[in-house]
Amino acid sequence: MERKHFYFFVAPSLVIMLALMVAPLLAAIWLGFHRMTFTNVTEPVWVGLENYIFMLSDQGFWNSFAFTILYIVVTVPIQIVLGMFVALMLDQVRAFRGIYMAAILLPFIVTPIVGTLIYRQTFDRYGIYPYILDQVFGLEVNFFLPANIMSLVFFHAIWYVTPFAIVTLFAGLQTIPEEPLEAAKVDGAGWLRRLWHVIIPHLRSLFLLIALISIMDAYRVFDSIFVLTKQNPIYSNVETLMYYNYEVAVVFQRLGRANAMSVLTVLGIFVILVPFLYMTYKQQVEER
Amino acid sequence: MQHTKSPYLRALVHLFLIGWTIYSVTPFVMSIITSLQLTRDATARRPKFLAQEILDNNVLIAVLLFLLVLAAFWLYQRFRGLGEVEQPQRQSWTSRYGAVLIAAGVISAGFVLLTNSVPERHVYSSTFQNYQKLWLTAAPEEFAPYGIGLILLAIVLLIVAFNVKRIAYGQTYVYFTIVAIIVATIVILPSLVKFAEFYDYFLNSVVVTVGTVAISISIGCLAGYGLARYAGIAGVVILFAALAFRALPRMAFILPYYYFAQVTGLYDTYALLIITFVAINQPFTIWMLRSFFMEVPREIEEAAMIDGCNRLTGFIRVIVPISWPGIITTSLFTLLLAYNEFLLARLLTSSLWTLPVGISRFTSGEDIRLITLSNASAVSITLPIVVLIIFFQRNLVKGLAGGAVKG
Repeated sequence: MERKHFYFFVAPSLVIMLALMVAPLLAAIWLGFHRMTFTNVTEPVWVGLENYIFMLSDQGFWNSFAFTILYIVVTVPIQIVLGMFVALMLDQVRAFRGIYMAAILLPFIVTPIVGTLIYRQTFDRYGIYPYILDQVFGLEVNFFLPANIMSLVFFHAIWYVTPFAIVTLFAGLQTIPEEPLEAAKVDGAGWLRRLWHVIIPHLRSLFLLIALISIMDAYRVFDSIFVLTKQNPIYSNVETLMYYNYEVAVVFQRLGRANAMSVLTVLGIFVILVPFLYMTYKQQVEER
Repeated sequence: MQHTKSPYLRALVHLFLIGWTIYSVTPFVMSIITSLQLTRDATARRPKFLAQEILDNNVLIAVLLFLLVLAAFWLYQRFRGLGEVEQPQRQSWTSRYGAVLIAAGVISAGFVLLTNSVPERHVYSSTFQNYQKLWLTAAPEEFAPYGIGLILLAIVLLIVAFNVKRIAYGQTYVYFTIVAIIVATIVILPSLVKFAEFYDYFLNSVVVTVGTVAISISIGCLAGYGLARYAGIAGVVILFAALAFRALPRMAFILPYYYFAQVTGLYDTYALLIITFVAINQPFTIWMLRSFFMEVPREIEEAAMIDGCNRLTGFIRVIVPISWPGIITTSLFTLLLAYNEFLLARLLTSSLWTLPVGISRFTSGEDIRLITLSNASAVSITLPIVVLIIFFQRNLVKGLAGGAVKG
């Protein structure tokens, strides 16, 4: 394809992305220099670096940053390991595979805010899990104490996020050719060694992709925190960056500070993603 | 990979998968049950999970269950091995149906025993009043004739849709007619029956989702095709930039969008919602469509160009028709993203609420009396998506696989 045709084909999409992704990003930096609330949206007041300095010295910002990092560090590895495990299990069976697949996909396709709401209810005071824990183990657990809410957030993440890894890895497992597995078997490799030396290396680029996607999604998790915390300020220990950003904008009504904070979070995600993006870039250039 | 031979191991694997299935599905089942309860039952100290109506008719249901298992097995036998190269070995009639008869009998008898042994404190009497409160302002009697008409219409449309493949030609027109009928029904109904505000949310969701998918896919197809065929460094740079844009937190866009919307007066319009949804889905869309267009051999479009097409007509007349499965898959993902988006719709609208924004008023969970209503709305929101996914499950799995494995 020649260059002029290429630009003709890409132009509409490029215009949309420039106008609605690059421009807003620059606007966010610019608006970060202003004092702005919902009452003076159209005529913000220039205050210089004040908002950026305020956000950088804000305890809430650093707390939410720390929890977001914890969220990524906990959920992404669990998601990949558990996803691989379930995918291997799914690969082993033929019967009822469609039913299992449908059930696994269900939390993935449901509207996140709705999924979290109904998941929260199973742990709520009238929910089924506290009742079972009470009846079977005699444990009275209140998942909505500020000390326990973090475990609930992680349980929910496993329920909601793992299906993506399961289905992707399962599909990846179908693409593995039989020959190397057969050869490894003939050479006397057991199941574990075949897994470690044949299957996992074959899926390496897939693991990179899942890690990339799920780090992005975990970094900007909002809907599930919004619902699980019931927007109650006592659960400040599970506030993620996006949720705190929302709070600054909508609850505290400091739009200028919220803009400054979103610029800082954008910087944060790129610092985290640099190694992954570099690897993907190299892969793309090699493939070209 | 090879399947394990040991029956114990296989039973263990099934057991694990059944456990996972139960964990996945429990919230949905509990939500459906709660949505059919009165607040008094939903907030009982012990969860009530058996409807009085089921308990009263449990023998009838058991018989139906028995027949259902037999029918399911017959269907399974009939369609198993379809499309596989090796036909499964035929077993003798008795060994095939004897076990199934016993299994169906055990399931039905177990159902009767189980329902009878559930203590009184776990039984509730079911009601549809939550759904009614959510969707209708009129009395249900007033809606009844329209409701029956709607159900009949839906059945007819489903039968037609399932049998479209048997019509020799003109399938596109049949699909077009079906869509037209559905749209007409959705538009005309509010003038006949008084709907509550959830119907407005539903309409807004439909408009925004359809608009987003249409624009996003038509723009994304052009870009995806261009990126799939162009070898220059600019292609890689654009793809890479799109990936970086996908990483950005939503708030970084939403606040400037809010500012621009207020300045230009676009705040609280369909156009604003659709164009912003298109923008945030664009990186994902072009990546996925690119990976589908990469699979199309170059020879096809070269042949088309020799026959007198230029790049654009060749793309529209030749490449798009053979890439339909990939385009449908991408549309499905775009649809899910647009239908599920909450934060953007929440902050950029004040009256044009979509369904996720509509349900968000139940999320604070402080008012315990709203628990049944919130579940009814959760079921209402989820149902269209689940129906859609039942039709397109293959596309969804293939999309996750195809786009991801190649990309």
